Amino acid sequence: MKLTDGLRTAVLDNGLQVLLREVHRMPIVALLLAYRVGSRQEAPGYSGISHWVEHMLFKGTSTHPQGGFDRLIQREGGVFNGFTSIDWTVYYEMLPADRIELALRIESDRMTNGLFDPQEVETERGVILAEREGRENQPRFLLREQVHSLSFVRHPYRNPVIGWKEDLQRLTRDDLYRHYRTYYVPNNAVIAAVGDFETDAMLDRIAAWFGPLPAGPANDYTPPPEPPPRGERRVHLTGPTGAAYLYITFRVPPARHPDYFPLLVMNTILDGPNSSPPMGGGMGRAARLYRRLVNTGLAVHVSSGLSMSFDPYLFQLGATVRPDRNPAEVEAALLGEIERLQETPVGEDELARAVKQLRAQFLYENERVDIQAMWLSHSTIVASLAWLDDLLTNIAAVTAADVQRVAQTYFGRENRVVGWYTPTEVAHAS
Amino acid sequence: MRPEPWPGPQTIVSATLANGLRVWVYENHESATVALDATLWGGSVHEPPTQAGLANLTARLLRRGTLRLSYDALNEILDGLAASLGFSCGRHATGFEAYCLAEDFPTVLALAVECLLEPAFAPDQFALVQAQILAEHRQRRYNTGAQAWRGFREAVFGDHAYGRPISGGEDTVSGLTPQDVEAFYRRTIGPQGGVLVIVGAVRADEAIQQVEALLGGWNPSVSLDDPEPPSPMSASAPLVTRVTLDDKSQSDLVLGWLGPSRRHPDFFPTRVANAILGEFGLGGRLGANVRERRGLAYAIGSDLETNLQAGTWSVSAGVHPAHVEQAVAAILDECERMRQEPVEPAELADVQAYLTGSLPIRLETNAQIADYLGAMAWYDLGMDYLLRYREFVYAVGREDVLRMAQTYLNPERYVLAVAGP
Repeated sequence: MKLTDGLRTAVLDNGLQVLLREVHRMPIVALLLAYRVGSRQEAPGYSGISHWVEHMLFKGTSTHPQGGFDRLIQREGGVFNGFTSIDWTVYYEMLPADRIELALRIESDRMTNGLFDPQEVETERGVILAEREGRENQPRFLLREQVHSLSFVRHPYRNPVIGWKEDLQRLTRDDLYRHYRTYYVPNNAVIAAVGDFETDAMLDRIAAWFGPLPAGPANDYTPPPEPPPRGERRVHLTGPTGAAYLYITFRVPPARHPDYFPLLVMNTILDGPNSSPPMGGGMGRAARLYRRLVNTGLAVHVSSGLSMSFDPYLFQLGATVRPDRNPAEVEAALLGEIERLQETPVGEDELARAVKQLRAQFLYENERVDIQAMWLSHSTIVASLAWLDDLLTNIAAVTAADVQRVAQTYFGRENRVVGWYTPTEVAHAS
Repeated sequence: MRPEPWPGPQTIVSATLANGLRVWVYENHESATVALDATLWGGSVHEPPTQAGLANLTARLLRRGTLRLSYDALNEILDGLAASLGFSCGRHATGFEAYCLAEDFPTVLALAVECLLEPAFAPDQFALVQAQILAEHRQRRYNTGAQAWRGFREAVFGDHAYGRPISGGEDTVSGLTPQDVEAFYRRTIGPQGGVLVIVGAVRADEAIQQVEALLGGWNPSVSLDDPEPPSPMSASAPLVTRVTLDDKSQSDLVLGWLGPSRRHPDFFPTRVANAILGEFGLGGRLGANVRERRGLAYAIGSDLETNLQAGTWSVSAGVHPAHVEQAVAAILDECERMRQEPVEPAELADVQAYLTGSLPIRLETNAQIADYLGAMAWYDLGMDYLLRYREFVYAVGREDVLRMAQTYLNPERYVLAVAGP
């Protein structure tokens, strides 16, 4: 399948990009509004501001002072959500097809009319601190946060999307409002609708709701360039945990770089097809990491991952050490699998299997119209629609030599960060 | 647009094999994929308490190789087809879920059946899975959410099997042997009363023939006794349990009660009442109070969990350790308000519109449909359940919601489990 088949694209006069795809399987429509803003756009001291703005947009606007968009959508039989990531912030609704106008009304409203009431900002500070503290309870969150902060010297990808606690404690209402006014403009957004509608009519409705909104100043913020890595970096955390965790990153090129496709195939050979956005593939037990680490009893869980990003980001390896084994053996085994890819080309049947898995995963996850909307808008933001159009072709064209070459190019010792989280003995009483 | 988006008696093709296995097939040719969902009798309530975790270990070993195929060989085939297959166990049932490309359906069905009928229970795989489960137990020891839920279920269900974790305890799991697994499998897992659902790009008649050919001759002699249903909580005061976990940033709390079973007439009234209390919008009335008004929690909501014999109606939240008392008081206030005053007519109407209107969104993929049909067949809700769903939801009135709150949300006899610093 190709998501670009039957796709209509348009750009409104104010710069809003529109992507429309009719799918008539079910009488529902997914509407997704994505802004080009995430942790990538956050200056030092302002980490977490994009995510906090996202929270505030579930609060009041000048036309809906009480907020309550969640209830407005649900009572029409819809579902909604929002999330903030490294490169983008997303709001989406899925509604019965005859109710989709509501989503257009809400999204055009909160693109410009957010109130950021000071009292609500303070209440939300508590909510976001609680969200962060909930994650801090998880050792893997803390480990990931530390490893990412060592994986970049200057680029804001080094900061957690949710923000450092110290920043969350001091960000002000005016900081948030400035961020909102800077990035929430039509020319910094992509709107995608997929589902049971008629394209011309939907385009008219989008133009009616969003056309009158004024364009803002252009946002071509470029983070400071990242210097080349000078050597391996390591971090060792300890804390209350029943298992030791390992997390290793390598800096790799972004989605629009030609080497992204061999990296995606390499990731699949190591761990089966991860889905993006994550859907839980369920495949990968014949993949190399599972066989080498879980089947042998070294680890109870292992994974690799590769995100779609705008700037160079991270290829990730993770493992949960079996309690009777030690992190050093697990680290050696993980890195041993990388060395194997560097030294010996993968077999043709292994390569063919990875390609088939990626194609199948793409088909499985795109049974959902909201996932289709996500692929279309995410590709537009970090690469292009042409990139998405050629994605499966480019994956199928990857050779064993390509995989070996990217393994040799990007997985040197100087390019990696290794993190351990191991148990401390703590008081534990019921 | 399809004229009738819901699977129902006109569109579900069903058959019952001579051995008592029910097969439901729903053709959906919109996507070239197939989802399988099987639920068979035999779960954690059927294991002795001294062998808690046995059913779970057995289910996980069913995916670990057959008399013909090693675990590696099975993985090679499934990964080569880009298919997924997983076995799991619940309180009363063991089952599998599979997802594959339509062209591979016959192969994947045959593999799933081979796993089910001819498991190897190889000692090396037993050792690996046992070690893995024990490692998961150790991880959960330090997980505030897992500890709060464990404490809550133990206190609500007391000695009943629903009070034990499905994964068992570290002591019971470490005592299990491959012989225990083999014996449990022979004694409990069989086709009688079970259900296999197939949804996707298949021909229903062909699929049923394939199932008949593969499973029609399966006739093990099993003997199953469900335990007595859990007795109502007898304590006359709140039951409070605490697990201290130092060096954590947040405490998890679960506060709740025994709830109705899935087939109980109270199911829909409590389902609606729960959506008002802690689900609609960002966590219902609880979210509006604890999260939006007080800023005490990010995660707050209530949940109705129902099974064959009973269920739970619970509120859960993650809060700063210093805010536990404040959050509990706010939660109890909201529960009390549900008991004292009928809900607003508009509030009820909103929630009814939400529950019925969102049905197409919850039935979009073959896997989602298979999951629904599996529950409809397993709980005997009727093949017309989805067609009547609207009627069930709209039959609930304000006085029913009030009555449910007064029946279940007893302020004298709740269970509160807290895990954190």
